[in-house]
Amino acid sequence: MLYVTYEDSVVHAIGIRKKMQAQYRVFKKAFGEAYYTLYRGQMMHLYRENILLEKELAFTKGECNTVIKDWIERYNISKVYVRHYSADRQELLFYQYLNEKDIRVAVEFPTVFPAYQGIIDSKVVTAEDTYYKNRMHEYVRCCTAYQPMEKVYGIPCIPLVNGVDIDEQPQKKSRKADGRIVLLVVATYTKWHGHERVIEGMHRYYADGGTREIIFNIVGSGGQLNYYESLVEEYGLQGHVNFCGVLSGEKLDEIYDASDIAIGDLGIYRVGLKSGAPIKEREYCARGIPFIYGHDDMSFGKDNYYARQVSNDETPIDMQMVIDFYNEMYDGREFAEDMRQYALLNLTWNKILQPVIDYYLC
Amino acid sequence: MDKGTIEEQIIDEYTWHCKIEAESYKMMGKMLDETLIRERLDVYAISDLYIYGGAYLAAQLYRAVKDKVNVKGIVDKEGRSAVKVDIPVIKLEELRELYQDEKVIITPPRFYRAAKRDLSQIIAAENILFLGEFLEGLF
Repeated sequence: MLYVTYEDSVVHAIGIRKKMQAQYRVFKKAFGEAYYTLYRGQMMHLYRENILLEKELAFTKGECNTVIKDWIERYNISKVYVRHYSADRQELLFYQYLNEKDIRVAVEFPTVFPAYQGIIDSKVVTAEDTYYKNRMHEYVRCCTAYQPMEKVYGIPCIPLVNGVDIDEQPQKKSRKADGRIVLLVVATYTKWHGHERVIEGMHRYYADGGTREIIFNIVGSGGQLNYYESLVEEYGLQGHVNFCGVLSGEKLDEIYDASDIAIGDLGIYRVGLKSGAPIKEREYCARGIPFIYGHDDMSFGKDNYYARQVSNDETPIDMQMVIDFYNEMYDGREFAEDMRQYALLNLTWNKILQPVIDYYLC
Repeated sequence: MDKGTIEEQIIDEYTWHCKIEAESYKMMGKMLDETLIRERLDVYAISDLYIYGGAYLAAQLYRAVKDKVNVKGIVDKEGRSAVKVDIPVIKLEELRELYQDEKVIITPPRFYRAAKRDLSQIIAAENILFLGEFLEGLF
């Protein structure tokens, strides 16, 4: 089994890397021998677990695929899972090759059209991508996507949700009530995260005379942080919003323990999407911290009383709603164990990828 | 789908050259970042180094690292450097005599495979790096 990734964000975006590694571990458990590729510094790398087996210079997708085909033959690969990046003629040739060799392939679409909005501006690239994506069904019989779709670009689709590695997400300790409400977000901030909605909401709340002390801990890095910082300064919210930087391990655990409510994605309307399945919200669930999110999600609904859905638009988050949600959750009830149990039963990669494993085995 | 018409093969060829130009430009830029260069030298624990290639990327790399590590020489198949440098420019045969377990960074993207093949006869694989790998590789 070979898990193919092309884009270098798999290497430097921690969330994507963790997700890919977690999926890889499930495939390894299911199929025994499993490998994965990583691309960085113009080199394609082949790994088994954390051991680098091979590396080869490859500038273009065509060169990457030549290298991968060589590895497929030398390592007797019979199953391939591709994390899709962008389609082109070389990718189609790769799928044609897999088809001819009777190698079973499933392609994961991390995002489905209209995924380009605000990400890729080049009309040529998007036209090329769309043209070749619409031809992929000629050679690909199975794909996965994080949206509830039966087919994607004519390819039968197994809908996935993002999973969580329970072992890496310790259950949050409860915080002693002190009158404050501490909000937390952990992310690599891009414009579709939409966390300025929380800052705007805090600004309105205090401008309207709100008195409850609300703290917002922002953990992580990313291009939108400058924007958030400028808003905080403009609104004079420095005493309420903490920019904590990137945290991991014990430091991250500590800030979860010191927070009451987590904030999920609030801006996917900006890339034209209504539904999503962000990893972060699964991690919040596994850790047992109630959370607010702004999109449809196959994994969370009305039964998940610890997950509060808000509108998928630019409306500032209503702090009175946040206060009410806090009061509901922290009325003495035990919700953390419920959340963790739900994550264990529904949100682990083992469970989520089982239909994909079944596809490879049938 | 056929393997490619003449037009498609021409486009593939242009794509390859275009990508190399773009990546070379990017590497040139990265070599201007002193902090990055220092970090990467530390990551690979480089103290002594040979640079493979006699063209502009090699000269730029030499200028970026010469005050930070001991660059023992530039290795070029023809024994030439496009830009005048104040260290020895040696041929592969000379490297064979002089080599003492240093890292070697290959700079010419178009000739990486041939260079690696030649160097592999003298040098252990873990001591051979491509410039792009040195600047932004996995480690």
